[in-house]
Amino acid sequence: METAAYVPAINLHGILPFISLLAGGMLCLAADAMSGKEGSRRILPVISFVALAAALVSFLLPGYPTGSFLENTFYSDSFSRLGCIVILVSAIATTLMGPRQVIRRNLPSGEYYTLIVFAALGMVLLALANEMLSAFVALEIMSLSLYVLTGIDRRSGKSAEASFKYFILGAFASAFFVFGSGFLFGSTRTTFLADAHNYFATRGGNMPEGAEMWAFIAFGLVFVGLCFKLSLAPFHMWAPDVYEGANTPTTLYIATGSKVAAFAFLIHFAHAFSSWQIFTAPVTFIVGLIAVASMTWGNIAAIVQSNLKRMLAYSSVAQTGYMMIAVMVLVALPSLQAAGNLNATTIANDTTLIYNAISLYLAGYTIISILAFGIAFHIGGEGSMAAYRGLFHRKPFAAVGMAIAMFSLSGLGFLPPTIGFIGKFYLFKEAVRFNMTGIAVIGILTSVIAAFYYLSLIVTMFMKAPDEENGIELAGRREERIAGLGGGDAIVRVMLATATALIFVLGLYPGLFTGLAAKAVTTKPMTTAMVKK
Amino acid sequence: MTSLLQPNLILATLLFTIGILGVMWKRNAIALFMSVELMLNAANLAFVSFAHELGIMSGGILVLFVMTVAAAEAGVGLAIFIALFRARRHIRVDEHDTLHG
Repeated sequence: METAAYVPAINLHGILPFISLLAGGMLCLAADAMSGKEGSRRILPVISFVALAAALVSFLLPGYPTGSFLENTFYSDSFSRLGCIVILVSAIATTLMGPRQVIRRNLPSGEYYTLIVFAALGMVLLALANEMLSAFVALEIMSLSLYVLTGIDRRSGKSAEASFKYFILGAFASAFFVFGSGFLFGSTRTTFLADAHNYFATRGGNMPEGAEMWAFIAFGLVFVGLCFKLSLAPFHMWAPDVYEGANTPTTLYIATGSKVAAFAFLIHFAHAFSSWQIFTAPVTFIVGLIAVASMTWGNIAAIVQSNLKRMLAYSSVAQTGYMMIAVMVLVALPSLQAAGNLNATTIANDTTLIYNAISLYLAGYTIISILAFGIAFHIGGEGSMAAYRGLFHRKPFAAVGMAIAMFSLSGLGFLPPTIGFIGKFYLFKEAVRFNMTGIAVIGILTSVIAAFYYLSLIVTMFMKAPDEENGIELAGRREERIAGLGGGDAIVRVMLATATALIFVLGLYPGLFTGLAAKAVTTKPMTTAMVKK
Repeated sequence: MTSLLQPNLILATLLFTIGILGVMWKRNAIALFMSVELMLNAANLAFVSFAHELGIMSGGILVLFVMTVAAAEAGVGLAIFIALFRARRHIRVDEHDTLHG
């Protein structure tokens, strides 16, 4: 008997971003090998920018597939697609800061740009992954690139130490992730999340002996692994050290790109379990607990920090805690549906609304981070607070930009509304709508705590006199001036201005963004009835 | 023939726990890394025993990927250790505390 050769269906548009990023990274390596130090400093930013922009455009093109592609290994819905767009925007911002960073610390440009592009590949794959093995490989592509990017400044002991801490805890988290995948495989007989979803839907009530416990262990372990990557509260201890020790563009990349990717995968992962009735109640509780811990501890610990990058690290712990509110609502949806509080049509709408809120929040967080870290990079001084004393009197634009970022990040900037405020507003609104007033109240209270350190930075910048000795000529600026900045300085300025504009434009017209989300509907509804693609 | 699944899983969990304890208590970078590798191999053991029990190949194939990734991780990790050693002349973990608030 003869069987036809099995030809897997490949959606070319679906894998176009992957191809462009892979080719871009390879081209960077090749171009670095073929051109000298000066040549590669000039040409590599262009290559990596083009590769990232090409990937970004292929996500933006209307024909990008929705639903499963590449043999169900990846799943693209409007949320993960927007996640990919956000990831690529943060990767492009990192690349744009590259030329100045490379000159400032005399970094090897070949490795620097190649790793940015490869990390973007890992992040994009992770955000779309719908299968545990692909997710693990994507996670590792991302993490390994980021470990090296953190430690790329080999002459700096701080950089090496940060890289070391990031590596050990990152590898630790990866082990949790793989062990959890093993138990998921053992209990549901598959590594595909869509199949796991179906398994829970059909057999969730009467699973074989042991399988139920294994599934819980699986969720717990993978969740812990992702919590490390997201730097959520009990698992955040690496974040401040890594944020401080890494070069500022890489810090931005870790704070935004890797978090968005891990978050998008967490949503896919939680969705696989959402069809399991007994799962929702305990997991809603655990996710809520983590959210509360991150919001409180992140905001309280940020107050006492004396380094801007450490402060932003704790603030990002808190910001991720706010994101977890959305996960909590999404996980709880099926049980609300089962209780008869919701019907099938509203649940689809509700899911879209929650996804809109969280997409807006993620985009806002990323844009604000680009502004905050971008200015920290522009100022130099590795985040030491001395550089910000009386900044307004020396660099008024930078000080005003940082103030906008801080207002927006704290969620206080509601006149005129900034994207930070709008994102938080929608998030809390969704939580209240589903009777989770408690967590929304905690969120608002911790935002008030957060306002304290955001405002104290603003006070430092505007009301203190500048520190003459160490304020003016900060580390790295001199090297830049000697080497000649070229267009690097102007590009960073344009980038920061664009980010500032976006904070207000998206704050005033969030519909621009949520409209984009609604157009590409087909987010996976978190219901018990999975529609087969 | 009795199933070996349960003893294998117990062994895997044991190895994983030893790995966690090692990461928490060991103070030498290489020993830390060995503990992490132990955790990854515990996961591999779990995968292989599940794949064998269920008769599904994909679990066994997945292990190959995990091993490849672990090898890549070892490459990057040891490079980082060397960079740290060059900067500080030692790799004892508890003495790396220049980064703090």
